[in-house]
Formats: sequence, C-alpha cells, structure tokens
Amino acid sequence: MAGLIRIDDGEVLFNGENIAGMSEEEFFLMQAQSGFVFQDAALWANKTLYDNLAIPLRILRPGMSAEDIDRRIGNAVEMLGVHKSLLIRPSAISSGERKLFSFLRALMTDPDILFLDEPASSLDRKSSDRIKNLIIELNNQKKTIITVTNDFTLARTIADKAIILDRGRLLRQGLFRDILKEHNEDIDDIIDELKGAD
Amino acid sequence: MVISYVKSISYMSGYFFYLTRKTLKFLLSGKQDKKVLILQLLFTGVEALPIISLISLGIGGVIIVQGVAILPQFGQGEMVYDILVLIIVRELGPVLTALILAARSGTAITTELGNMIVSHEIEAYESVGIDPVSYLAVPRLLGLVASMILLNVYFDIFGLFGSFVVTSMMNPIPLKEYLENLLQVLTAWDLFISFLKSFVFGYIIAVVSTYHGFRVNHAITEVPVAAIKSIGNCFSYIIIADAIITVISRL
Repeated sequence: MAGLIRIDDGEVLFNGENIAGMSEEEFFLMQAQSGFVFQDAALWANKTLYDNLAIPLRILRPGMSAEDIDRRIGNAVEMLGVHKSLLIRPSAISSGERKLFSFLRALMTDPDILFLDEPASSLDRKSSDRIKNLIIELNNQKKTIITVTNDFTLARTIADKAIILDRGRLLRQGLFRDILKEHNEDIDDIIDELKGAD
Repeated sequence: MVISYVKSISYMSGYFFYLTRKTLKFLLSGKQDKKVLILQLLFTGVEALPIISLISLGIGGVIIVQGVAILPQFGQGEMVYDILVLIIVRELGPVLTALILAARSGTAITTELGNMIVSHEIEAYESVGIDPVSYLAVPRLLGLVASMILLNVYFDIFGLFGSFVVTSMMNPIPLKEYLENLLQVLTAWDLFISFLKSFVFGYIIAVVSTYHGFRVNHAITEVPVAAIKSIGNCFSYIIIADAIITVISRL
C-alpha cells in the first residue's frame, strides 16, 4: 500500500491515481507526501541521529536553510521529549528510542499520510505510551494514519476504520467501533469469531 | 548457466544506462546532498594513497632494475624510458590502480548497499521520497571515477619516481636528465590513453559494485556472495576493457 513492494494485483490509488502506473518522478513525489515507520525502525546506521532527521529535509527541501532545518529538528525532538545527543549513531540508543527517531524522521517533511508498521511492538511501556500519544495527537491534526498492528488495545485507542486480516485473508473491514459492537467489545476473541464465521 | 549469464549481463547493461542517466541528472541538479560524494572521495581516494604509493614505488623500481639488466644486452639500453612510460603510464598504472580500487572500495560498496537492503535502510530512503540510486549510487560513481583518475596520476608519478630512486642507487643520473629523457618519450597520446582507461575502469567498478549491492534480496547470507560476484566481475571487465582499449589505441 505504501508503494515499497511492487504491486502484482489490484490497485492502490493515491489522490485518485494508481501508484502502479506512476512514473518514477511521480512515485518519489508521492512517497515524499507520505511517511513510513518501519517495525525495526530502519534508521540509517552510518549516519548520526541528526542526519537521520535532516537528510529528508536537505534532499526534499533544497531551499531550506541549515538554521531552519536545525530549528525544525529541535522542535520535533522537544515535542517527543527525547533528550539525547543527536550526534551519536542509532546503534548507541535503545530500540524504543530508535523507533521514536524513526517516527520523527517520517514526520520531518510533514507528510499527509503516515504508514506505521507495528508502531508499539517490542517497546517498553514508557516508549509505547509516548508513541500512542503521538499517534493520537497526529490523528487530531487530521493526518491519515494507516497502521499495521496485532495489538488490539492499540487499535482500539487509535483506529477509526479497520481491516482485519488473517494470514493474508480479509476477514472483515469497516468502522472499528461497529466491528467491536458486533462482537460485544470482546477484542480478544474477535479473530476467532471472524474466522469461525468465515 | 549460459542463459543466466546472458540475463545478468543484460540486467547490468540496463542498470548501466539507468545509472548514467541518473548521474547526468545529478550533475545538472543542485538538489542532491554532496556530503555522500565528499565522503566517497575521502574513502576511495585519500585512504587508498598508502597502498597505491607502496605498489607504485615498488613496480617502478622493479621495472628499472629489470630494464637496466636486460635491455643493454640487446643494444637497446636507451629504450628503458619507453618501457617505463609504456608499462607504468599506459598499462600498470590504470590496471593496478583499478584492481586495488575494485578490491578495496568496490567490495566495500557492494557490502554496504547489500547490508542496507537487509536492514531496510534502502526502503527507508524510498519511504521518505529519496531515490536510493540518485542518493547512494550516483555519488559513489562520481567519487570512484574521480578517485580512479587522480590515483592513476598519483600512481604514475610515484612509479616514475620509484624508478628514479632505484636508478640513482645503481647508476646515478641527475633528476633533470632523467626527467628530460622521460618527457622525450612521453606523448599526449600516452596520457590520453591512461586517462581514458582510468575513467572507464572507475565507471566499471562503480556500476558493477552498486549493481551487485542493490541485487541483494533481504537475506544477510547474500551479502558476501554479492561481494564475491562484484569483485570477480570487476576484475574480468577491467581486463577485457583494458585489452579492447589497448588494441584500439594501436590500430
């Protein structure tokens, strides 16, 4: 859906245009309007944390001054409450902090759509809460957020619409509150019930 | 096996044209981050200087020792300068420099890009709208070609200096006379062929090493295999290109 894997069937529309038919320039332009947070953070290992945040701006906003980039990074780091030297490499911080920086990197260019791959998985409670709060805040800012998660508690907190899949098979899609209502708010058994109904 | 080899050559040819197009675009655009190019020049060019110095000094010394020992026996003692120019400037300078860069920087580039694919770092570039070929491969190509040309000049100078040092120990002649003898036989054509070879070899190393790096497909065990293929292809294509350029230059 995010365009990172070649589409071999069906179509994904971005602003009404099928991304499979986009030219290379259109594809990268589309990517620049979306952000992606990888499950394993995927920060650029041989760059400093500062560069991880600055590179998208340097490349995609060539007119932006170094001071503006500096200010933007400072504000983003402040917003997430990360108090780390930005001149260290990603290997020097915890996996939870790497995920937070991955979030910040995705937000640097102020994308309209955000793709999150298991945003709160394998995180400590504090980092997980930070990420949930950030998602809620972004949601309030009317950003479109598409999250892949097997954490129903997280889904319940943030999701408006849901697509429930089981090993690639579509079980149910619709408004998440309707799905929950149908299953008496029992999120633990939702998959089993849907599989049974299928 | 023949089909897979032909397929691989055709993919690499396609990648060659794709990378060339991206490189021309890079040179005409101010949108790119020049830091990667500077780092590549530092790694490929500056950090290779010690090994290039050692090999060029040694080769220059060996050629003069062998030349002085053998050529007078055929009454061709004066030809030692022609041999020096032919071997150091036109042949060994570009070829040895290219083999050193392929072994040192080519494999490093393949390994680095391969590891970046495995750790999803290449996808991370795509995800923020940065074309990984433009951002990662193009600066490496420019860095490799520029380093190759400069290191070749450096190899030639050091090789010729090495032969002077050895000559001074065996049969001392003034530096001025040595240089005059060399400049008498060194032609603009020799320098052009040397330059052409270093440009072509640098291009080959960049295309082959980035191609094999990008071909890694998510498994860490593929990275060393890609590095082996990269260095094997680089060596083969450099020798083939050297033979073609040498034959054409003598027609």
